[in-house]
Amino acid sequence: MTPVVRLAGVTRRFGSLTAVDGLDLDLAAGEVVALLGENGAGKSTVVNMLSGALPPDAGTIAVDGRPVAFAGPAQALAAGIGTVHQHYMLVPAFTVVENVMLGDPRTPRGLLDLRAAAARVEAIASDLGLALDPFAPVGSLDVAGQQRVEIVKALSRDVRVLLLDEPTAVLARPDAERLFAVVDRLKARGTAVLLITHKLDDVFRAADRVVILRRGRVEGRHRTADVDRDTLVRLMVGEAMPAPTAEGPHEAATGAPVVRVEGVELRRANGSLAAAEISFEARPGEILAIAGVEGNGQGELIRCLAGLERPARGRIECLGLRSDLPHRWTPRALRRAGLAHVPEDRRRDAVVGSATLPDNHLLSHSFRRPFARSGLIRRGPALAAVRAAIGRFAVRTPGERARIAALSGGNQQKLVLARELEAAPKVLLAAQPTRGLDIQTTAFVRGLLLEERRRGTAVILVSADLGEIWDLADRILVLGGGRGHGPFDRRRTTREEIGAHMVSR
Amino acid sequence: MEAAILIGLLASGVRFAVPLALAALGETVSQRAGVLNVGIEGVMLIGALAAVLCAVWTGSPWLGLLGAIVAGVLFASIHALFAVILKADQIVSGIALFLLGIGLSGFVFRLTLGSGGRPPGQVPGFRPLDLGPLGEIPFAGPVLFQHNALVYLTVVAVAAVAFLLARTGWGLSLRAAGENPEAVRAAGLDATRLRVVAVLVGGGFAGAGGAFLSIAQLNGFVENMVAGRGFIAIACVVFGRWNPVGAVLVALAFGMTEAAQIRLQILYPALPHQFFVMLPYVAAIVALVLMRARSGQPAALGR
Repeated sequence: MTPVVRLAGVTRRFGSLTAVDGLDLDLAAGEVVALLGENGAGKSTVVNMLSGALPPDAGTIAVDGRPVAFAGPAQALAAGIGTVHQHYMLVPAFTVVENVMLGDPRTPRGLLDLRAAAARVEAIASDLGLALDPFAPVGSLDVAGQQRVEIVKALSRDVRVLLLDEPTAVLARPDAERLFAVVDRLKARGTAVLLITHKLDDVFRAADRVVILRRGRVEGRHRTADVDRDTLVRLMVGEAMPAPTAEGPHEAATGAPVVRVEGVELRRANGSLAAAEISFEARPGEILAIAGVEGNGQGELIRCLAGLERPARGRIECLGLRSDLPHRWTPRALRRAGLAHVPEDRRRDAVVGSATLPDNHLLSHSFRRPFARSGLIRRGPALAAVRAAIGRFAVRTPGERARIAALSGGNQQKLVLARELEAAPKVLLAAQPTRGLDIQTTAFVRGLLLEERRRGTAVILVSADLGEIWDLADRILVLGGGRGHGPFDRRRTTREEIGAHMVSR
Repeated sequence: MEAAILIGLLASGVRFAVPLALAALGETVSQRAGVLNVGIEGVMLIGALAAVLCAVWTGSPWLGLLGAIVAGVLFASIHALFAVILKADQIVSGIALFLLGIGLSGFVFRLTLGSGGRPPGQVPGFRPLDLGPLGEIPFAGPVLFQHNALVYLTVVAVAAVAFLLARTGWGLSLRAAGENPEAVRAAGLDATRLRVVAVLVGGGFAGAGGAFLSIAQLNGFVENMVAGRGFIAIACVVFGRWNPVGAVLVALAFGMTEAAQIRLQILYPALPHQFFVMLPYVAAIVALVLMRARSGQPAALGR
């Protein structure tokens, strides 16, 4: 049987970087194939070539045995290849049905029949076992809901191949399970599904076959039934297995506290109470973790500690600065005093996507020698720092002066960390520093945090991953039920105790 | 006597509103597709001049209007080329269009009619229509039914644009290009082409707005005669929350303000007339300060 889609020797380069190198890949009807690889392995480039966004430099893509050359997404869709992008391609101001109709060649240029289209949306959704209100504004849906819109949108074009690009990256477990139930149905209907992921759980849950990509090359092909996790991890990350991150015995930090939080109350942007009664101290050479279900005030606490806001009540002392004194509680003043901040939302708060790597490096140091002198920034030292970071952190980039948006998320995060650690901080705020990162980069980032701790930095770590907290933290503050609990000494508490505080009312 | 003043005010308010409404309607189409054109003042000037030239040469105000629309489309294509196709900064390109419009319209006017050309009054212009009994209705007759054909065409155009944007597939694609051009491309459409068309449509409407000033109101061309109305039209789009009907209603309010300021000048001759001339612009600034929420703004406007 001819495969629906066949890639033969497909290659794509960006500058000196070969993102995809001679990829051969077959997709048959009713088959789920996982394309497994770490961040920057070339998976997204494969998606872009199959969805018509990028032409390959070499090699052929064939659909039903006929070679195709897509000049744009319209042709890929017409050939029967639909894509659910990692960053959804939706119009938030439109309703579900308007999003589905957008660009469909069957949508008349003249009068729209929203009712008929809504009926079609509902038919497709119910066929997949999905609940979807066709007239809900897409911007009002959560990420799982928006993903359902993307899937229905793709299927409304009668595609025979569906590309799912990192579909579970932003989904909670139950939503991911619902997604895979949909994948099962698609498979039963005869749709070919290419599942692009870096998560082993996704592979074993949904895929028939797995193709492992590393640095643009295929490292192995297996039937998921015949392969184990260790083999996949080894193929994915190469021979060098990530070092275990659990640290050995460590003496309690005894230095004078550099951060002191007293009776702080946090309010959200809309004025509602996020958390109250938060008090803790952080000392040099310890990792203080902040645990809790997301949305319990972690974001507000970090923003206060970073000087972006002041607490609604109580006060924070950090490196000699006080939040209750006017004027001085600013990010600039805190950074001068020795604070560094790795924000949670990398794309929004940590990098400027359209700026180059050196300019992104300057963002945190525009007031500091050697990156600025006499009020002028100096790109030379920034370029040198970026070059050093690329070498030391093994950053994969098309060039030293590339725009940072051209890098994968993990490589961006490495550069953010390099930037924040540049000036040997005394206090490091790290908010979800490993979120969305692959195994190797996660291990690397954890290693950096532990190294900072050894060096005598007070590290304040926000993490939604209790396992990570257990691996790294000396003490744990829990935000839950609208207040702070602890901090608790990690060696003298249990996960059950922490978990109970997380869900307390 | 009181009623006569009010009727005169409202009727001339409608006439003052029409050029603003036409330009605002075009700017709404352009901005809904994500392209800000701050140069429609210049497009209106080009339209005003083209209308006079074509009307004089052909003897027909209708061909004058057609010439203004064609000139508006052609002139706006400069913005389409730089701001959309070449992706230059929309504001910079728009300002260039504004400055070029002032200079070019004045220059061409002096080359053609300006030096010893026909004085205003001999330009074939639009005349009020005789709508028979409708014009005889007390109050409503003189306010609504004694205008020229362009006024009524504007009303039709508002309804048509509102319908096209809201209810047709073309409108859906166009609005999507203003919200998320990436999504438009991923859906297989050409966002650039949609935006180019929107800018050209906006240019055509701005040209028609200029034509109203020159061949329906003044019956002649004067250098820089648009006098900031292009910028007021942009304000109409914002205050109208990017809704065509809203933009035109705001244009009507500005038209009334303008009609009022002229009457106030006459009522209070002791005060310098410049203060009254400022009134519509002061109203725009005050409204801008009062209206802070930007709901309805296309998410990808200006990008």
